[in-house]
Amino acid sequence: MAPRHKEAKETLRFSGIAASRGIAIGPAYRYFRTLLYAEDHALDLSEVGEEIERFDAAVQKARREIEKVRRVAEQKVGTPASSIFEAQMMMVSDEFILSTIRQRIKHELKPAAFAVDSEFSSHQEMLKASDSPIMRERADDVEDIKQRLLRYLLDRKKWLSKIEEPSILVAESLTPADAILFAQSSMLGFAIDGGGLTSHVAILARSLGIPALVALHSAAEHIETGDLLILDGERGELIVCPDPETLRGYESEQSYVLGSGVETEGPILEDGAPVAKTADGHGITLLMNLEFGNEVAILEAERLSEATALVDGNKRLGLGLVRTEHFLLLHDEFPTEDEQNELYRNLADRFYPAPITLRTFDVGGDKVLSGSYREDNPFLGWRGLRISLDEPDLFLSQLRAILRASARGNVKLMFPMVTTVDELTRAHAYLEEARGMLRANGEPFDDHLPVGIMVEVPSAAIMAESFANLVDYFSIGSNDLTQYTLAVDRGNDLIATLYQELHPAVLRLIQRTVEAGKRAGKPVSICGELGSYPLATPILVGMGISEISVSPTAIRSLAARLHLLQYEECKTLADRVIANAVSPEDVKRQILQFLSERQLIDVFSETALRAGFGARLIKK
Amino acid sequence: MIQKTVTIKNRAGLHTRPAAAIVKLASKFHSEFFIIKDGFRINGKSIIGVMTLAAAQGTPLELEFDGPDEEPAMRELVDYFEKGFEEES
Repeated sequence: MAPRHKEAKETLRFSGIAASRGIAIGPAYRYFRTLLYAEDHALDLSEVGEEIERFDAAVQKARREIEKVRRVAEQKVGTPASSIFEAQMMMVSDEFILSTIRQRIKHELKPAAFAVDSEFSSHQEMLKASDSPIMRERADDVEDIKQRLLRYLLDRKKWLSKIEEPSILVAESLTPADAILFAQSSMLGFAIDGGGLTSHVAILARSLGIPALVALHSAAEHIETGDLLILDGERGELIVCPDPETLRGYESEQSYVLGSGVETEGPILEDGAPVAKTADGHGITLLMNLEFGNEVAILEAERLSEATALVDGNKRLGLGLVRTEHFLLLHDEFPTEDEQNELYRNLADRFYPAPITLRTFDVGGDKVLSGSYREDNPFLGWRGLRISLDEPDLFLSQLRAILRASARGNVKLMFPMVTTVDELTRAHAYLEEARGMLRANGEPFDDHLPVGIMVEVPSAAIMAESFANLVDYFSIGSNDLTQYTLAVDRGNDLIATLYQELHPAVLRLIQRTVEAGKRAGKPVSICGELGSYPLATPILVGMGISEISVSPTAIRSLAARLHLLQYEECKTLADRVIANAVSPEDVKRQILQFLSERQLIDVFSETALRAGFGARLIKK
Repeated sequence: MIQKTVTIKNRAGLHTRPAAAIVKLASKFHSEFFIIKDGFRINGKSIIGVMTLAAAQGTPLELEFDGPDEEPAMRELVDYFEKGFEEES
């Protein structure tokens, strides 16, 4: 199918949630999932036998297909994703529901399709009405099974044709099975109206390592197959039929993101890898952010890590943040201590001797409370370290698993969402208890395991001095720090543009943390998205951040930017900006001015243009 | 018809794994089996039904058995609940 050239078509922009990061540029493939409904009519008595046979055949076919998808998922993504389909398999084999349907065909003379629709729908309604998001997502799985059975019974062909050319999939909604099957063709990414960050489809996108947008609300109806799209998985934007200038900007950002704009062969960092040196010799250690379950990203990170070792065998890129809760998001249950230990130990082995920083579970209460309690304000609620401290068995189990893995020698521990010194003290107490348990069993662990905290809540940044003596390092979680400081929920469409990482208030809190770290002799790293945001690099360097941890796709471009900057100049810039800027626009203007004076604006500012804020400023 | 109230003992609550085990166990018996929570009456032999309960640790559930083998059915299922689904509590 040749792409249509629609030069006269106006540019449209849609905002959604970036379920999986990255940038995709390509033609749209508009996928229509026709939802099937069954009509009610009375069967003839003579038709009953055949109807039951048709139903049984449809069930068998559904089971075979789900098994097929599960195998593809297992192969492409690994066991965590395939468990989504294992659960579907259980549901479609539910003897009770199946025999109820057969009874209705036999005794009520209902057509199989109608009985299927009716029975599954009533369960769906119950699940959708649940307070638990896990249960609501299950309703989507039930819908998937129902549609599959209806398709066979109503004899509709599924138009799941292979995508002819590399395209971006656009749909109102997508089932996990669709995502897996389309991924076999050349799908560059997908953008859907529905879905949420923790939906199965979003999780699969991250596991597949392709950019994806969800919750676009009403984008699909405006897009036709062939329309050129920019899927911005960095900022959560979908741009339809972009103008040439915007397109060029994204193409160069994409090459940074993919690393192809800078050298792809050979060592990333000339000397002292994994430390990147500024033009005047100031070193900043580079690290990567990862999560379990994204096998594609882990492999990419491993590859990059090994590439840096070409310079010096001992100097591999390490991991500044490993999110451990992914397992929980996919399985809806906590992994056992042994399962965790295996994952942590395996990762430590793969990156040895570079450090891996394991952060304890950072999830919201909804993942732990499977009952009907519902928090009004989960973001300000029972999450992260708070859950661990309230669930000692869980916490000790994770701490023991991490300690056991630390025997390898390259593990660091990090606590999320720390708000008070008391929380940290209690966490340390549990850690000591865990050490005691292992000693009693004669199990080895690293006696000098570095323990740090995420600085992502304003109270931790403001009181950084009090924390400095109780940690070995700080890691700034700029995403949440920005959200809490500016009272902005990035996922809220209505106010998402207020999320500004370069807000002077956020920068001052970061600076405060860095200074507290310096005075106590503790390193301060940053692991949020601010680390990979090009405009922020001069400020972060100037503030004296010692380590920057970014996603593997952002490492090369970050190193390239660092090489172009002078630390002393950045320091002057940072001091000035933090002292006098009163708004994020002001901060950006000063940074752009700085870059312009050094002829660095082409390298750095393309991203500012696309962020939509810098455009007016650049034209001055 | 016989009934007994049980409590969810394990930390993770009534998630997919024990839900599947309950259905498998209950389906061995002829008797009808219902689970009642907060006034909702769920057929205990239906996996989708049991999964919708989403009962957390500490939740009380009423188990109802009705049929020729209701006694052994209740014994085995109550036992499984009391063992905390053989998981960490």
